Amino acid sequence: MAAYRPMGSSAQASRLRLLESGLESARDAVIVADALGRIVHANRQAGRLFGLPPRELTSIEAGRRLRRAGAFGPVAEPDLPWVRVMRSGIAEAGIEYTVECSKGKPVAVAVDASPVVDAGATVGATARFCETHTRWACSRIPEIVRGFLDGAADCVFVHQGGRVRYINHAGAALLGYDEAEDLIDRPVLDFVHPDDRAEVAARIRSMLEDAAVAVLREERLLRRDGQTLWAAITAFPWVGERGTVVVGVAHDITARRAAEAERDHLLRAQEAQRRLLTSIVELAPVGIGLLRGPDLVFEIVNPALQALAPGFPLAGKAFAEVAPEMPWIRAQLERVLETGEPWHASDVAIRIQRSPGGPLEDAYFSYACARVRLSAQEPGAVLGVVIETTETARARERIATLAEAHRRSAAECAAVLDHIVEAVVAIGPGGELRILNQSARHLFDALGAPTDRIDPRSVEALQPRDRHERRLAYDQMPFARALAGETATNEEIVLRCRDGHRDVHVRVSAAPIRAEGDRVGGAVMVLADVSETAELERIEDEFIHMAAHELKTPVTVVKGYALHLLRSAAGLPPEQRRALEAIDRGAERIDRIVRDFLDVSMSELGRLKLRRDRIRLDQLAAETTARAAAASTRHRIELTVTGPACVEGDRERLEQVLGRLLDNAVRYSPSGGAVEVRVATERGSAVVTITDHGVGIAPRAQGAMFERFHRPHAGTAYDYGGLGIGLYLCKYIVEAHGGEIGFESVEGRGSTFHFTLPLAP
Amino acid sequence: MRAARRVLFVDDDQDLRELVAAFLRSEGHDVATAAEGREALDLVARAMPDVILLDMRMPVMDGREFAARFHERHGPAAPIVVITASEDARARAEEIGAAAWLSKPFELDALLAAVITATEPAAPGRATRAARAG
Repeated sequence: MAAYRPMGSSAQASRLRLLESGLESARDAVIVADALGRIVHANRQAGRLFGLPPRELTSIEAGRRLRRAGAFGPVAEPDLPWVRVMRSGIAEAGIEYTVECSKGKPVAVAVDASPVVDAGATVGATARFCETHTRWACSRIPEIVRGFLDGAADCVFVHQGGRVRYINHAGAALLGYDEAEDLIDRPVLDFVHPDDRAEVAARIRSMLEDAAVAVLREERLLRRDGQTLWAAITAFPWVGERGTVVVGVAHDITARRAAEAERDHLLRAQEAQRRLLTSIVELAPVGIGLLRGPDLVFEIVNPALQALAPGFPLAGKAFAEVAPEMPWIRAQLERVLETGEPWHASDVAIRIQRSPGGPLEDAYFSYACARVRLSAQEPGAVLGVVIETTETARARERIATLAEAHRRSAAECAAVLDHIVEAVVAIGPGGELRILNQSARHLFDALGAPTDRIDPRSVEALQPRDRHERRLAYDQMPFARALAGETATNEEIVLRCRDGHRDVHVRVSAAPIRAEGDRVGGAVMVLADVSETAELERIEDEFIHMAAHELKTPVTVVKGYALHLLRSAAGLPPEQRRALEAIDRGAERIDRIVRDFLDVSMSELGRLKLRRDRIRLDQLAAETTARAAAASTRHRIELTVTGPACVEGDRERLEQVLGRLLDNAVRYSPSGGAVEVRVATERGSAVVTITDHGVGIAPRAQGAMFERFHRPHAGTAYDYGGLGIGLYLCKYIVEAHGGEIGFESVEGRGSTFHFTLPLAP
Repeated sequence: MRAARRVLFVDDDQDLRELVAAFLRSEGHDVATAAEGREALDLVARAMPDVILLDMRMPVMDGREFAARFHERHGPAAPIVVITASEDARARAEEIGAAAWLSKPFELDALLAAVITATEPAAPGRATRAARAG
């Protein structure tokens, strides 16, 4: 400060005013004194401090009001700071005083006083009074503010140029950092959610450009651990000494946002649920209605319910008005409303009109009703669900009718089955017996067979045999073959009763029962007890047997005499000789027939006994062929033998088979025709083939070739007589040896008969 | 001409007895006949034949019983040739210890052959049979 001196010139005067205004603008009270210690100038602040207009403030007045710290009473003039420093020439600083004015409280001040020296001489002094509490406050303000900010509960931050310049502890903690220091100078956008960075950057820019006032926004921030947090941020630009900064305060609202999101979600879910329920009610094929009490007014009516009353809108109408003819239903609804007990009713018959003005129809409905109310005070409403069950009820009636019809037809079937003479049996795939008619029960009882199922053991117990007394295995039984998909027709089987004393002859037919997919789901078997017929046949066979037997001796006599007479009576007249020859031939034919009868009856009676000798079938064939060739010179009989063929069997019977087959081949071949006999072995069997080129067999006659008394050429040009038992016996003999016999034939071209016999081991 | 044989023919059929007797006599043999076993046993007791032609089924005493009695009393004094209508002639023959068998109806030549064969000293007891094409 320039030394005070009175100003003579205007330049000096203006300079002085300039200095005065400088003093006036000072924050502290300032006093300027001259060399005599008189106050020559005091600024306004000094006037205010001492409670006097500045011009009236004199050193005396000032001294009166000043108290030295630790001393009593006013300060004497020589002790006034500005006087003392002038005298000593040494500046003093921070000397503490108290200023006591008449009005107001004493003010503690620190006084800085300095002598003013001009050209080596002390010309005056200045004193500056600084109110001590103000000075303290002023010197501590940044520290206080800083402490206040640092300790604030909310986040406070300052950023400039896109970088963090300050952030308090709460802010650092909010962002997940331990030290605020770690954030200083980091880009602000680092802490903004990546999705929002561009938008936030633009907003900061525009805030700085527009110098906008404080802006409050909710922003998504990014924590150090990558989590998102929501903060309400108030930010404003602040123009400072070193440019414009952005100051902001942030408050964590993550929990609030989460709660809001949760609430929104719940509201949306509720809304979706409400819409869902509404659409369910709307689309439900069952009638749904809400009837508000106490008058049961339709409040909610879905289309299905409305459809029950076409042309008559239900909504808003009372039940009594809608259905006056159904007071009992109304009574039920009122009871539900009153007691809260639900009501259910099924298949209630009601007459309805399906279209306006249409006919009244019987229909059935099922109801379910329950009370709905929010509090006991309100009358509440009845929620009713109604579904038309007419179709179901009708279907049920139809099912009952069908079931009755089915029962009746089953009873009829059972009655029919029971009155069939034959035994009828249905068998399941596992042999279980599903149907047994009366006759079947009688038959099974007579046999002592179980009536629940057929199994190999119970079958074995019956010792099943064919009519030639040959034992049948389980899988040869007609029902077993039917279960395997085969059909058996009229096969005769002999069964032994469980008591072991009596044979029962049954004629059996069996066929598979086809289930889905052509699978065999069982078999049906029809059995007729033919024991009586079989017995009659047996008696017949026995009779034939006896008769044939009895014929043997007379035939011997006739033949014998004829031959004896022919030989012994020389010179017999030619006509008598021819007669005797005819008698011999006739007897021979009778003999042949007798033998055939015997063979057939014996095979039927199961009495044909077979020897088991080792036989060279090839040699036997050669012998038989040679004999046939000798007997019939008009035919070419050729034999081919590939090698020895040893079989086990009855020589005489096998010779019979070969002889009969050869005889047939020759008989039905034209004169000079070739007959080929071939003996070979293949796969453990001897195979004999006899081929002729004769008349062949008509296709319609081929089916029964090996049956008894079958005569395929009967009534044709080739009917050479015979009983039709030759092939029957051949088959019987071959099969009794464990072989098989068969043939191929083309009518007009010839036939091939072949049979196999197992080779002897 | 071979040596005459003494033949006993036992059969209940009179026509057959007469036929066989006439035939065998015409062939130069001595023939005695019996209608059943007991009568045959009497004849055998008086004069033992060279061969016995024996029917099996006869009244009073059948062939089986006769054979048993005959062997019991006379042992193998004469071979027996069984003549039967039964189908199992061979079994019957073996059963009663016969030398041969002949099935009814038989050819007279076969009967003659059986007589000769059964009495042939070279092969006593060798079984023969009437071969016959079926």
